[in-house]
This record gives sequence, C-alpha cells and structure tokens, in this order.
Amino acid sequence: MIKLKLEFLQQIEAATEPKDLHGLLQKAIELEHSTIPPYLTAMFSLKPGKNREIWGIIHSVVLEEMLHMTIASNILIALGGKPDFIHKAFVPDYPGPLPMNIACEDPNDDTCLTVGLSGYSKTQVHNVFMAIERPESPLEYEVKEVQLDQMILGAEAKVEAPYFATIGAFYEAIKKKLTEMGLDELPGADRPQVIPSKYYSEEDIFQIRTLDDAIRAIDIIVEQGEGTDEGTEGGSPLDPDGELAHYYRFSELYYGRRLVKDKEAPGGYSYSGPVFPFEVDGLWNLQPNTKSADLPPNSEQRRQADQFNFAYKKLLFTLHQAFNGEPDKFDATMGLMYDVKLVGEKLVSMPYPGKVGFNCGPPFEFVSPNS
Amino acid sequence: MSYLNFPRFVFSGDFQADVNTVNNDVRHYYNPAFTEDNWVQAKSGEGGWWNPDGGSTFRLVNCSVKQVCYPDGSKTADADQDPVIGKNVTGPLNESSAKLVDLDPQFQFSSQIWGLTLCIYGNDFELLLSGKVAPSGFKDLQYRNLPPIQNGQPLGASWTSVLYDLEWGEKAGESKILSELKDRSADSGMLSCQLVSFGYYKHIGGERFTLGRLLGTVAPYVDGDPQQFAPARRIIGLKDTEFKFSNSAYKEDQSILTIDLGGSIPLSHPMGTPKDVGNLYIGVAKKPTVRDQLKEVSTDNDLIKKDQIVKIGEIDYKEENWILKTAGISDFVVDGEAEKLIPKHQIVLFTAGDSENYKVLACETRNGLSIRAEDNVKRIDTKSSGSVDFDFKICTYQWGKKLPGAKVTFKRYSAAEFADDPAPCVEPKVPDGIDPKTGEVIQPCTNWPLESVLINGEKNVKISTDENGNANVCISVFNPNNPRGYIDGQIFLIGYMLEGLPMEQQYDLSFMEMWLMDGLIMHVRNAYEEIKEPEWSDISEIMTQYRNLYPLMSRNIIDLSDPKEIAARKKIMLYAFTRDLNDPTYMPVTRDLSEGKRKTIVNWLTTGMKGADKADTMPLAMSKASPLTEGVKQASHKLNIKTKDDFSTS
Repeated sequence: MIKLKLEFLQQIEAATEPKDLHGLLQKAIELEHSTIPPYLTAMFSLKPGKNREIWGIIHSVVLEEMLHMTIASNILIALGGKPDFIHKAFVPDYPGPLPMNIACEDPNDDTCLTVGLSGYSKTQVHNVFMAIERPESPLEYEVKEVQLDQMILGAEAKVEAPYFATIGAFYEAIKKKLTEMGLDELPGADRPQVIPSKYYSEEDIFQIRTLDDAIRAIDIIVEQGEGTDEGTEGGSPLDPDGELAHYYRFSELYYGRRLVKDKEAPGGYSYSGPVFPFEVDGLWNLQPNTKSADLPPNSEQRRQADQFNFAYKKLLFTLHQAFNGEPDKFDATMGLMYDVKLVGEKLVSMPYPGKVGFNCGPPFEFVSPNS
Repeated sequence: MSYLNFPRFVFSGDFQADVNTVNNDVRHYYNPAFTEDNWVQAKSGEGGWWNPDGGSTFRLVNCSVKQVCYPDGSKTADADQDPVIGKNVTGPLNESSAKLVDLDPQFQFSSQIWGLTLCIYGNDFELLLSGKVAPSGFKDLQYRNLPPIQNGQPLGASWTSVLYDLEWGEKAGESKILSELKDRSADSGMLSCQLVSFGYYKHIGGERFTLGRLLGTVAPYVDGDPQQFAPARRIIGLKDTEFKFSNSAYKEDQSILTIDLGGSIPLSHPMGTPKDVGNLYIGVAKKPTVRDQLKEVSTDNDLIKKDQIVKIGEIDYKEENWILKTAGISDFVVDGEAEKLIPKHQIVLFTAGDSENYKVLACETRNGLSIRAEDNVKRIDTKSSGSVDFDFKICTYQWGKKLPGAKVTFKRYSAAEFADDPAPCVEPKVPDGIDPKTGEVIQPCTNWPLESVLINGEKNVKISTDENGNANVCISVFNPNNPRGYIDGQIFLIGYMLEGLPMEQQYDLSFMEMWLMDGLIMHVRNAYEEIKEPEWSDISEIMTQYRNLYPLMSRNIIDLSDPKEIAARKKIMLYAFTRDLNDPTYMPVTRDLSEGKRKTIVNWLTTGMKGADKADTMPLAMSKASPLTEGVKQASHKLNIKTKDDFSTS
C-alpha cells in the first residue's frame, strides 16, 4: 500500500494558512498522476483487439485517477495555489517510490512499494496495482474457482509500523486542517478551475468554492480509491456511485473473476462472477522501465520513444496551461491523449533492440524544451 | 522579397510526414470493391501502398535555429551572441500535430500542411515566438538525390507561406533577431516563412521511414507582397535533374544579391550532403539574355565564354553541414560592373568549364520574366443551380520588379490532357464500377465536364496585368454533377502562361510534367443540400469510405462504418467534426468533405442518430467487429457518454 513519509502529515499539521498547504496539494497532484503511467503501460501491452475486458477495467481506473488529479488541482487553485505540471520532478523515475512515498531500502521488501512500468501480468496487478490502491483494511472475499495461471501465493504481511501515513490519513488531515482554518469561501474560489463536465458527472466534478465543496471533493478521491465504511461487516467495496473501488477492480483482475453480490458469502460479496478471459497471445512482452537513452541513437525505436516522450510532454504542458488560468485548453488534451495512445501503441509493437522476445515499453520520461 | 530579405533566421532538422497511402489510389474510394487487402503495407501501386497506417501527421523533429542574419547583412551562428540560436523550433506544446494532406487522390502535387504553428520556447517552457503557418500547396518539386537508393523519394518540395497570429513572449526581447523581427512585423502582423523539404524516406522497414530533412527561413513580411510564393528572380536549371528552380533576390539599396539553393542543389546523400559540382559561382550575364533551355542538353551547349559573365562570388557549399546551417542561402555584395548589370541582366549559376568557357548550370528566366499565382489550391462547394464565383490572382515580374501590361493567357485543361492513360478520357464518362475485362475498378477521368468551369465567363482568356503587375480573373464554378461516380466532385485545373517566356519555362499541368506544375488547382465538390434530420443511410456511404481509407483510425480509434460505435463516441465525434478548418484536429483530416455533407453528419449526431439501431453491417463493406466496443462499454459506465441504450431517448 501507499506509505507516505510522516513528514508530510507533520507539514499539514503545522499549517496555519491556506498557502501552507500548497506544496502538499501539489504533491497530491503528483501522486495521483504517478499512478497513471504504470496503468497505461499495462494497457499498452494488451494488443489491439485482445484482452479488451482487462483493458477496460484498467482504463476505468485511469479515468478516475485523472479525475482525482483534476480534483486535487482544483482544490489547490481554490486555495490560491498554482498547479505545476512541467517541472522535472513532476514525473517520477520508474522504477521507484511514488511521490511522497517512503523509498524502499531493500528491493525485496514486500511491504514496501516500488513502482515500475511493466506490461500486464498478474504479478504486476498484485504487487503494484493492488499495492497502490490497497486501503488500510482491505475487505477480503471468498474466491471461487480461482484462475490458476500465474497467481502469486504468499502471506500478506500485516504491517503495524506507525512510521508512515496512508493516503487516506493524508487526505483526512487536509480535510481536518481546512476545517480548523475556519474557512468558508476559499481564497481562490473565483479563479478558473477545470471542470471537464463532458467526461465526468456533476456529482464527481464541480467548482470548488467552499470548505464543504473541498471536503466533498476529497471524499470522492478517497472513496473511489478505497471504498466506503458503509455496509455490513466492516464496509463496502463500492464507492458512493455504486462502482467498485479501485482496489477491488484490480482484485477482480488478479483472481480472474468478477466480484459480485453473494448473500451466502461472508461480507456479502465473493469473486464468483463471470470469468475474465485472458488471451495469452494478446500481450506484448514489454521490456520493463524502457528508457529512451537506452535505445540506439538513430534507430526507429529511439525515434518512436522520443516521439512518445514528446507527445507526453505536450499533454503535461497543456494540462499545465488548463490548470493555470486557461481551462478552455483542456479540450485540446483529448486529441493529445489520442496522440500518446497512437504513438505508444506503435512503440510497443517494436522489438527491443538486442533483447530477443522483448518489445519497447513506453518511457514516460519528462523532457525539458531545447534538450 | 519575402523570406530572402534581412533580417532572417534559419532553422533546420528533420520533419516527419506520416502520410496515409491507402488514399493514394482513387480506386480505393469505391466501397463495394474495397477489401482489407488494401490495408496491407506493400510497394506503391499494391495493397495499401507503402504506408497504409499513416495518420497524416506532419511535425518538426529535432529542428533548431542555426543561424541569424541581421538587417545589415551580418550573420552569426553563436548562441552567446543571440540566445535564440540552438533553441528548438517545434509545433505548439498544447496542440495536436499538424496534418499533411493531398488535395485529392487524382491530384497529389499540391499537398498542403494544415494546422501547423511554429513555436520557439525558452528553457523553462516560456513561449518566445509562435506563429500559425497559413496553408499553402507545396511548389517547386524538383529532383534532389538521384538515384534515391537510400531513401526512395528523389524529389523535394517547398512551401512558401506567412506566419500570422504572432505571439511574442516577454523574453523574446533578449534575442536581437527576435526583437528585430518583432519590430518589422508590427505593421503587417505577419512574418514570411519558407519551408524546404528533401531526403524523404519511404523505404519500408528503413530506420528513417517517414522522416525527411527540413530547412526553414523566417523573415519579415511586407504588406502587399505575395504570401504563397516568393516574388523572386527565378533561376532555372539547364537540366531537369539539377538546380531546377532557385529563388534569388537583389536588394538594390544594399547592393546585396541573395541566392537560395536549399531547395535545388543536387545532393549526393538524402541527409543533405551536396553533390560535388566543383567550384560553384554566381554571376551576372553581360548580354541581356543567355541561351536558356530546360531540356536535357549535350555538354557542349552549356558552355559560355568567360568574358560573357561577370563573377560575383563563390558559394561555399562544401563547408560541413552547409545546407543545414544556412538553409542553402548565400548573400553577396555586388559592386563594380556587376552592380551596373544586375538590375536588368540574367543572374547565372556556373562552374569552371575549361580555359575559355564557364559551364552554366542554371540561369535566370528569359528577359527576367516570371509569373506565379496566389492561393492556387482551392476546395469549392458548388450550388445546385448557378455558379460560385471567386477571384484568382496571378502576379508577373521582370527582373524582380512588378510588370504592368504583361499578357497572360489562362486555359482550362481537358480530361485527356491530364490522365495517366489519355485514351479512355477523350470521351469521358462516369465510371460504373468494375471493368469486366480487367476486373479492376474503373478510374475516373478528371477535368470534365468542362462546362463546370468558366474564366471571366469564357472558356479561355487572355488579359493584361495592371500597374502592380497583377491580374485577377473571375472563376465561375458550377455543379459538376458527380462525374467521378464513387468519389465526390471533380478535379479541375486551369493553367496560366506569360507571353514572352519560352514553352520550356512556362508552368504546365499536363500529367507527368510534374516539375513545371503550377496553376489553379481545384477540387470542385458536387452540390449537396444539407439534410436537417438525416438517417444513417444518408451518410453510411461517406462514413464507410472514411473507414476504408484510414485503417489507423478504424483499428485504433473508431470504426466509422459502425453507427453503434459512433453513437458510443458521439461527443468526441461532434467535437472532431465541428472544428475550424485550420485546427489540426479537424475531421476529416483530408478536408475533402463539402459543407453540406459535413453538416449532415453533424445533424445526424445531434438529432438522435436515426437508423443507427436498425443498421445492419453494410452488406458491401468489409467491416469487422471493433476492438474498442468492449473497452468503451467498460469506460462509459462511469462517464457521461451515451450508449446505444440511451440515444433512442435523446
């Protein structure tokens, strides 16, 4: 699970006015964004026309992570801050810890999260995707007729250490601090925010003007990720819209079956729904954590990787403009996302030079202008 | 003067033109015979030709500013002297890439770049300069590297245009050249821009597939100057294969002669190494006219006595990376005898011949005459009755100055004059599908019915230019009434000729004389009345045609022959089909859809998409189950996108 360094919680605690929270919300934006490249890499590895159900599940999570990133940005704007998408540290180095996360000293430490860019596999789903999305107390459900291929068996170490903060605790602390500050109308309430109402419902994305708005928005982030406390026996895997929280969508992929209501099962749900078909020949075998500089200069692969990074840079730049006073630029991000998709799909179809059986992965590297 | 003027900056690097080639063969537009064999990458003329998966994007790759020339003619390539040197020139970081588009499969010699903006950013992403490039058909196609073993495409081409909607960043002031250009663009609000391309790689599987070399020059634009061609003194090669078209300009106030060989110097390698032609000189002829022929000549006939030419200077083309560093543009101070001659004598490009003679490689047009058209690539929607009229302007010059009273003839080309095989087009008719003898789809004839086009109300016309050397004729275009059957509208070509130029120096649009191509080039669309509440059956043919021609879109984004898929992506479709023509995301990319048809498609999306739920797979189209449908369904449960179940209620 996500384990944030305690110092961030402490910074929230020490804040006395809205601008003291700017840096923390910027980090929250970076954290939400940082989950997207690993999810997209898995999606790219699924060949066009193959494994579409799996693709759809991951895509549905990506759409919500983008929403969370948007919400965090709007909260920052509402507090008078300026989201920054175009500094080098915005994009983490993969493999590595996610923003604000504790770095892993021991790469073999199962309790510590190192995130890399890999093609889809159940290992990646379990070790990375579910780990990213794991709530503090995940709800365990029965798995009926488990898909046997590539399941990772192993004890889940129950982590007790108080030396980190969960993402839930982070957002809870922000809510608490904002309430403490006694704000009603937020200082940046009149500044333009990005409200992509074409793509998300009104319940999920709205102008953040007041403390209540901010709290409601934060709850969306948390509940879509982790589910809610409602329901019997410790909570519900659903978010307030009745959709499965991210952790459980990925569990479905891992166990290979849909999580469905099951009156007879403990907790009221079980992984007994329709099986996820997995087409083994529908996967590109991607070289994990492909870096552009590792590809031979003047090769087609290097050019395609550079083009990918350029398309990605354009997307970040345009988001930056949209969240810095030009929300009408947001529409352009649709076309730019398609560019990233098309370039990425071409890239992953190209063999990785010098490594038989592997293809190039999407590098997702930040490139400054004039480099 | 335009881009040959001072001050200017030069940039260079690579470009990518990921052109789509399924639409290169007009027979692919015939839906009933279309199969996915036409999506297979193959050599030209087969399958989907060499790049069926092309997305039509055009973008600058690793281009950077190499050299600046200040108003006094001094130059530098040192970033310490001017911080804009070394900065990348790219498209905008907040827009999709531009598109490179042919007018029509039956006229591919006037490709335009749509939606291109040139930008220079500082190291912190701050904008220094941006300017939109007005679409302009490429011109001066000429051979650059023969034989094209490495790259496959021996031709290069140029786009002359203007940058408009200029934006200057605060830090632009830190660059002397940008400050100078900003001052000089204050009146017109525009800059001149010349883009030269060569060395395009089309070999399948090659490392530089779809890449080529690009040279760019940006200079002030003066109101009144033409925008889509340089009002230059034209230097024409004696051979068809070397130095075919070069632009040159003489600045009388500074006595500076500028010659641009970036688009014409022959290359030994497509990456830009000039061919060794010996010492290369520029000079001016003593007699008013030098013999000038454009056909292949024997070695004897290109020699001229040395005392007939006054040498002005030598072009340093052998310097390393000369063409990328300078865009192939050289400037010379002209003095002495040359200064007296140059205003009215031919500029000559030559090398050392023998002890008595120079060898002429290229020289100015006869009597310094030249003619060119503005805005010569047109897409016209016609009316069901009556004509659509517009002005077509040409400009004439002599020795680089406007030429009043010049006699210009305009003529309409006939179907047989512009046909791969003239015989079937002597008496053209609408192609009705497949030729029973060959089993092949019948190719339509272009340029008929000729009654669809009139020039000043007549068939052919001769006029004189006004005091500005310009002539406007009124072109009247009538509904051609679907002469090509399975592809909308018709191609009509109007040529223009300037009296006084020999035939070999006139532009000519006859098929295969591609290096002389210039004229008025029109895609005239069938008259089509917008349908306010269309059914799917009203637009299914059009949509299926797009689905067939663009497999990248059909496989990876959306299958336009499947109305259910379109319904699931209605918002994105509406967005794409309602962009401004100059927006890089405008659909259709080829801009070949009449307004009546485009509006009908939009109406279908906004009036309930009638007939989508009843639609069967098109019986004659080779559609297949879309890979996206499942993924789209998964995503749409969370999003505000209507699915099939919803649209019947909207």
